[in-house]
Amino acid sequence: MLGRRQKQEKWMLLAPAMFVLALITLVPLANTLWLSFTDTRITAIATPVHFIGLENYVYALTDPDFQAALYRTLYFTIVSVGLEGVLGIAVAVLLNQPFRGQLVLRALIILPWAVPTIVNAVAWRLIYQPDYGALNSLLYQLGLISDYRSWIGDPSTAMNMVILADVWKNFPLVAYVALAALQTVPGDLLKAAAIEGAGPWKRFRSITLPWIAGPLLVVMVLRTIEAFRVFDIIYVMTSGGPADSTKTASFFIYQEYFNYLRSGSGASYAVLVAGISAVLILAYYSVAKRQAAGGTA
Amino acid sequence: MKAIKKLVLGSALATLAMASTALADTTLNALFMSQAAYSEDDIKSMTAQFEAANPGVKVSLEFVPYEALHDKIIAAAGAGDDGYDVVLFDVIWPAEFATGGFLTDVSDRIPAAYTDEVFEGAWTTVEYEGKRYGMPWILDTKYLFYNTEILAEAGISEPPKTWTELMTQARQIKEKGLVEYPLVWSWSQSEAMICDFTTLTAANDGKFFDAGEPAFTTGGAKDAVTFMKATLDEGLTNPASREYFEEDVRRVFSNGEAAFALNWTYMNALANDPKESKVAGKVKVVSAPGVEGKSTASSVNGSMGLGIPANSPHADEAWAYISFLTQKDIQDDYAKLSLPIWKASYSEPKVMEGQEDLIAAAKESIAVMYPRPLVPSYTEVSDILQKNIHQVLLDQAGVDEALEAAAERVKRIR
Amino acid sequence: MPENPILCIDKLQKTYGDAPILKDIAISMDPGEFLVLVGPSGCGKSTLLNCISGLTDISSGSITIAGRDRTHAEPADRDIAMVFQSYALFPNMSVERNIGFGLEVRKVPEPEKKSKVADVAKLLKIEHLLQRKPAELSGGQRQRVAMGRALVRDPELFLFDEPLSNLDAKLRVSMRTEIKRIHQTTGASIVYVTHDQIEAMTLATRIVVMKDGVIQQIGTPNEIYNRPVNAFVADFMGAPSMNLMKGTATRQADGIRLEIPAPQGSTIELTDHDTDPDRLPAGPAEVLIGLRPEAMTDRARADGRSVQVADCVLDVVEPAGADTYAVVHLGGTEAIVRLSADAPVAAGQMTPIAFDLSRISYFDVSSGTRL
Repeated sequence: MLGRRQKQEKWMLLAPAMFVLALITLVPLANTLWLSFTDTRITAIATPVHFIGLENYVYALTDPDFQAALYRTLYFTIVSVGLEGVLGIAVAVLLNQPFRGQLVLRALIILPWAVPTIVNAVAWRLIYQPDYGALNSLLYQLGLISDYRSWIGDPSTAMNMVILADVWKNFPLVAYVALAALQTVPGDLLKAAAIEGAGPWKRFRSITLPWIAGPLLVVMVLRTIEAFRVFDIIYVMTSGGPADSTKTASFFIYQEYFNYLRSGSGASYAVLVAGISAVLILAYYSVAKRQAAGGTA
Repeated sequence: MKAIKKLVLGSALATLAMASTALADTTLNALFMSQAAYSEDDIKSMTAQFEAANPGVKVSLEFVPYEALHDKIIAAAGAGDDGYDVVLFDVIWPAEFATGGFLTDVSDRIPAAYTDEVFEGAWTTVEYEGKRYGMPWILDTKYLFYNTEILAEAGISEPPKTWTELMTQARQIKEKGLVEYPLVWSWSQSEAMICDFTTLTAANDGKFFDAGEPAFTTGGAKDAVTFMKATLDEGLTNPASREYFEEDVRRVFSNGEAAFALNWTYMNALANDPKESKVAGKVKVVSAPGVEGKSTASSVNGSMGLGIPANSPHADEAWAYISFLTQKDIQDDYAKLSLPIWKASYSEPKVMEGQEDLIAAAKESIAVMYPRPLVPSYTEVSDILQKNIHQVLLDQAGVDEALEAAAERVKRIR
Repeated sequence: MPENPILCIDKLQKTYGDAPILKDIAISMDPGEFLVLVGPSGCGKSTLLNCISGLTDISSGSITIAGRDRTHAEPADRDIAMVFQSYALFPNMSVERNIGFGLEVRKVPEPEKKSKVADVAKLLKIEHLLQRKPAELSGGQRQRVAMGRALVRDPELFLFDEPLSNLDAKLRVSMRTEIKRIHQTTGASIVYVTHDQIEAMTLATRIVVMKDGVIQQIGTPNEIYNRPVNAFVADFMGAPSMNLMKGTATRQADGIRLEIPAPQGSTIELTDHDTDPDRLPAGPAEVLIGLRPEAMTDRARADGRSVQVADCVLDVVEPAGADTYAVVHLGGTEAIVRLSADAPVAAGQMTPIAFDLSRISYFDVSSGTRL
């Protein structure tokens, strides 16, 4: 146990860092929170500001467009992160097997993740182009479609195509974490399971997966939080269209702020999105605690 | 002793004088658009001329896509002295910018004589509640471009005068198998679509608002949307139009894959340029058609102006730059991609040369330019209309249903 | 060939690339036997065990378990259970689930599985640990759980891969007894790998001594100990190991005359009356003479005509409690003699040593094979 003197020293040493942390996180947070209770607008001239309580929140939550956007964001998050998880683990399992060129492939796999989001979005837009895009060309040549068609211009497919582009960019992160975790699995455990009669799938489910669950969970939480706040890839690929089918919750923040110049209202949307993210984080946290302590069968 | 004193004093003053001239070297930050109207090269050469005529003033140019213009202007408002000194703004923004105090009132800087020398439609670009917030610079509207070769092969001798006639001609072209989709538009969920919608609404004598209330659920506006949907249903409009912007329209038309297209002035020069277009020399332009009994031609006011952000520390130099760019001689020199704001220009030989049909069309179209709602919340109104009309075009909602929903939502704007 | 061997390995070879790991292995094991594979590191004993289990492929040969050819069968289809050196307990499962895992995979009904696990837990005295996780157990407890997992499925063959190596010395001894007791109670057929020759000697019904991928000798502990088939086996098994002394053997009418060089040019002369002289080459030949320390003792224990006495100089004297060991330079090697605990001896002293020649072994000097 630290003596009293040492405890004081500890806090004194931490103080500068905590001060900076507070400055860059707590101050903007408090400011945003305050803004959300007012009717502030962005103007170049001084305008009177009124305190309007929860009016912004009521407006946001009763807006059917925002509700729809929340569902869409949830859909995006679940499908995108889910696919990243499955694809990432599958690729990691493959890369864990010894084969020729394994090291080269392991290095190449990181490339999609290294590409900036904007660049990735623009590249996929070109692939999805209805008149000369590579996707249409490929599917047509494989005989899977009879005509070139629109992908991100069609509200029934736009969201899924954006998800595809997002999964492509982000699955390498999951793959790398999973691969590192897979390499820590003791060989003896898998041998023992094999002798007990467990086939590859049972071994994976009962031995490997629980073993790598810890680090996997961390990266999935990270991805979930990021996915829920998704904005840039959608802005570049579809600008929220067609017919709002790819408009997610973060868009409302952007719209209220920059398009409609309602900073008070924008702040309320921001607080809502942050709040829901916090709920997601807490949910993950409790699952992770349960995993670490008891472990699920 | 006296001589030396004089020498020292003299040189000190001389140094000071030189220093102050050096201090007078200003750099202006100017924000322009990177597509449609004047090309980047045009603007760079105009600017070079200005710098040559005004030593001590330099202009740093920035080009962004139209879609980013609004947000950049807003964001720079908070940049204090480091923001922009000159910005290009769209005709739909003065209401919003004036209310928010983003632009400087320059009514006093504009000579009174200009009011008559410049087109009325150009002045609406910069006016709000009786004050002027800039100089009009780009006088633009959308014209109907048509491919003379395709029309000739279809046996059509004259371009359509009404929208109904356009449909008929398109049907003929399609039936003859000359082009799969004779019509191509910029109907992505964006302002570009609203421009087309406005053109059609104007043709049908429709209104956006009536005494402050949404009036687009009936009458001309509804007819406009119905027309747009009908061309899609009949297979006359290229379905990919629902993803297109103006550049896509130009590309498709220049490839010979469309017979008719609605686009801005700039497409005329480029569609007739063999380096940019496969149909060079086969392109003609007329005013967008009217509707029988309601109009003879239709056009949307798509003009843009140059203004000075309120936070600029170089208002005088900025105004000098704006005056230079908007003067008649400069506008006449660069009249191929954007037509001048000055009435007298339209009889100048160097303006008319090589684009007589454009000038003729312009005279007609500029006279009937129709504005989009001049309200401070226009951006939000446009977003709502965009989304709902797009749903109609994508077959997700009926015309009435969508326009009603839009009206409801518009009423809720705060 | 005995009838119905539980394990039959025939002409097994394993090469890894170009390097041969196992050469021409042939083993036949009866049900209920405790077969120990022993040898120095790198001899291939663990590899052989992995081949038997099916975790490693073989290059040629055949493996038959319980009468069925399993050469190409998956580990799960060989009716075997294995206990690993690291125990290989599944960390995310309870002890009960660990033990019952094999039954769970084979979809054995819940009540049957529960009762079988309970029985085995009782046998190994770990019933009170069933709900714990492996991380909460001591080394010895984990060892029992690993054995429990192997026992619960009642397979035809048990494979143990150095299971006691991770335990401390005292625990090792008690677990060794435990394993022997379980073998006696259950009558299981066990193949056991160890590098510890004491474990081999105490646990095995038969021992397989290996070196460099080749089987040196298969035999009962007694056979291995008293009649090692070559100098390597003689030296490897038993602690302290058998003394191998270079000497000259001459065939005579009444026996074999042995001359063993001692330090300072002297020679120890003994006559072996027990061994059949025809086993040795005619004429004086240089041989390796093998005698265990307990066959070279002080006079107090010697008797009979097999035992002959010669004086030797003791180099180092090591009192070891129950006995005293002394190093004697004979036949070019440091031979160890075992003296009684209270023998009045000191280093450097010349002492009469009694050689029990009934226990003698002869080996060829160059090849090391038994003569």
